[in-house]
Amino acid sequence: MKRFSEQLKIKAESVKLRAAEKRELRERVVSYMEYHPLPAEMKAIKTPAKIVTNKQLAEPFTSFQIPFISIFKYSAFTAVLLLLVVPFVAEKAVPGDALYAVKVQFNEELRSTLTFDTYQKVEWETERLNRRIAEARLLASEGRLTEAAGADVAEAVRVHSANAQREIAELRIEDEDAATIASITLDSTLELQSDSLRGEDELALVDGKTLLTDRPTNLIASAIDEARTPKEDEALSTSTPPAYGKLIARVEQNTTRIYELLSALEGVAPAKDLVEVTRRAEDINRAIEEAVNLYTTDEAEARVRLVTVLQRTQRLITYMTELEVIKTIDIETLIPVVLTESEQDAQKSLLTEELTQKLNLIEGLENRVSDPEVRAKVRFGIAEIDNILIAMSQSTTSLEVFKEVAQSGMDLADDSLLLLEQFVDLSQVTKDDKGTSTTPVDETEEVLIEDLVSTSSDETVLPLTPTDVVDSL
Amino acid sequence: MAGKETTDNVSDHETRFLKAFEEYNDALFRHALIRVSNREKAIDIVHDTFTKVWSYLRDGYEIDSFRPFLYKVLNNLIIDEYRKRKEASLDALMEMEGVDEGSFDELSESTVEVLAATIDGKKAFDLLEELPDQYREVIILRFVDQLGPKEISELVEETENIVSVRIHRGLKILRQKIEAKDEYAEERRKAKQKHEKI
Repeated sequence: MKRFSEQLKIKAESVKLRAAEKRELRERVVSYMEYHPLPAEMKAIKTPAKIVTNKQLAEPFTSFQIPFISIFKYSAFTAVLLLLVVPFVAEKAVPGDALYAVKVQFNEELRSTLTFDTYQKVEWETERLNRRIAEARLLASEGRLTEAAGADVAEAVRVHSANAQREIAELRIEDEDAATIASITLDSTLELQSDSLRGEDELALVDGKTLLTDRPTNLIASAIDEARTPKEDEALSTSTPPAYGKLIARVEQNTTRIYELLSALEGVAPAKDLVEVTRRAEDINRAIEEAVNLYTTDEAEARVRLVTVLQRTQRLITYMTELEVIKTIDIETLIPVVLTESEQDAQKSLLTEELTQKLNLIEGLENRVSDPEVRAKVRFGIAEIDNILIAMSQSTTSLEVFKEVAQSGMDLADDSLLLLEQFVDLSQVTKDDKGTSTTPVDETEEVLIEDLVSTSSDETVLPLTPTDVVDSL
Repeated sequence: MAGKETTDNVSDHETRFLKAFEEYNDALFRHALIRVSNREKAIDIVHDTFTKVWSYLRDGYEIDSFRPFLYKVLNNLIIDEYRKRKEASLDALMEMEGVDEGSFDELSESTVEVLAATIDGKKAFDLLEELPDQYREVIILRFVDQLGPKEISELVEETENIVSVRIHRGLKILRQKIEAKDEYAEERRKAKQKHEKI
């Protein structure tokens, strides 16, 4: 069978169309197809088989479709991916990530290029500087900040601050005032970051994980300091504060930003921090008001004040935007609270009261001491404290001076108390103290703590209570 | 979008059709030539086959598989061609239609194979022309075009049994013819030898 069919087939295959016949036949069929084209409306094919192979070309020219639509689709997709998605994802990159180069060399450079205003350029360079430091912090918090990475960040800090300085110099030619404002902005940022980094170092030292982590941050901090030093000289050389109008405009801008940030942080940040920040904002507002009032009488002074206000606003903004800064540095050291007059008065009267109470305590104790020498000494102390109290009551100077005076009185009172402790009849004191003087003193203490909870109170030494005296004995 | 789809559809139909043309033109021509024994006629029949199939497509029918369809059309055209000729052989064929019952022997595929094995394919091919078309048709479809019995039965619109019987009988006739030829040739040779001897 096989043989038969094979033989038959071989024989049959000798029968076929000659090339010319085939060509002619094809032409006839194709022309028939052309004269009788398929209607445009065709039923869907069940098994759409894509057939492209057509070895025998009927015509010298063959046409093929360029799939423009799909090319466009894919290239558009790729373009979107490259121009939008990748940069967006890259924004979160840190040094060492694959997309970090995209962030630094594409996103940020693009933004620098697209910023035409010199002042905004300075701002952007400052922002980039902040970003580099924030990245360094992030790496440090993950324990990934190597010395090399730290050096890179320090280098970036140098580059960006140099850029900013250059832009400021350029700006100085066009607009002296804007340049000064810009340099104030830059300087306060640098100062804040430097302080914060140093604070981190200290923290690291305290934690005991010293050498590895503090080195790169130190490197960065010194880079910042380096960037700051030439600026300070410059600031000295151009000591004239910028024009009032521009300053106030800038300050307004900053305060607006502060309130924006504040409303954004509401409900997110802990209430305690919010209270702190709100307080600073109010202080700034008061300072602005004062400066505005001062403007009519003393313009120069008003400008100087506005410069400090500007610095404070800048610090507050940086504090609010750089979350890492909050962790490492206390707001009080950055922007100390400015007390209102009534608050100042309250504090003054508190201090006076405290001192008076101490004086009473001393007098009370003094009566129980028999040694005349000691009594004489204590008496002298009492007289001194009396004098100080008089001075305090008459004082109209600033709170700082008042505090200093009060402090000296406190020190004197404490010394006297220490002296008395050694000579007083113990049993009597304990009994008496509990009965009489302890309660009012404790109350004062409570009041003091309540009122000064948000203040620096560095100088405020809490009064030495009789119980403390007893304990120490 | 709908317009684009239909054009795609149309061009798809065209490509499929042309593909079928490239694939089957030789086989169809071979089949036609063996059946009609006229080269030009065979080409015309193949051409008509394709144009008919094309018209069928134009009417909106779908063709899943081109091969059986092409053979069907070709076969019909060949029969038409016979009718036009009105040759005696056709009438003779028609008369034979009635005897297609077939024995068990004739119905078995294996006996077809056994039978086929005894036939010289090359000689058989030359003798195909002498075979009545009824047999020639199925033998060509079976051994030249290599179609299965079922496909052939669909094509010629007969049962598989009838197809098997026809193949069997066709092969038998072929063998007889070959044998007769051989005998004749032998006789001629012997006669020649005799003549030479004398």
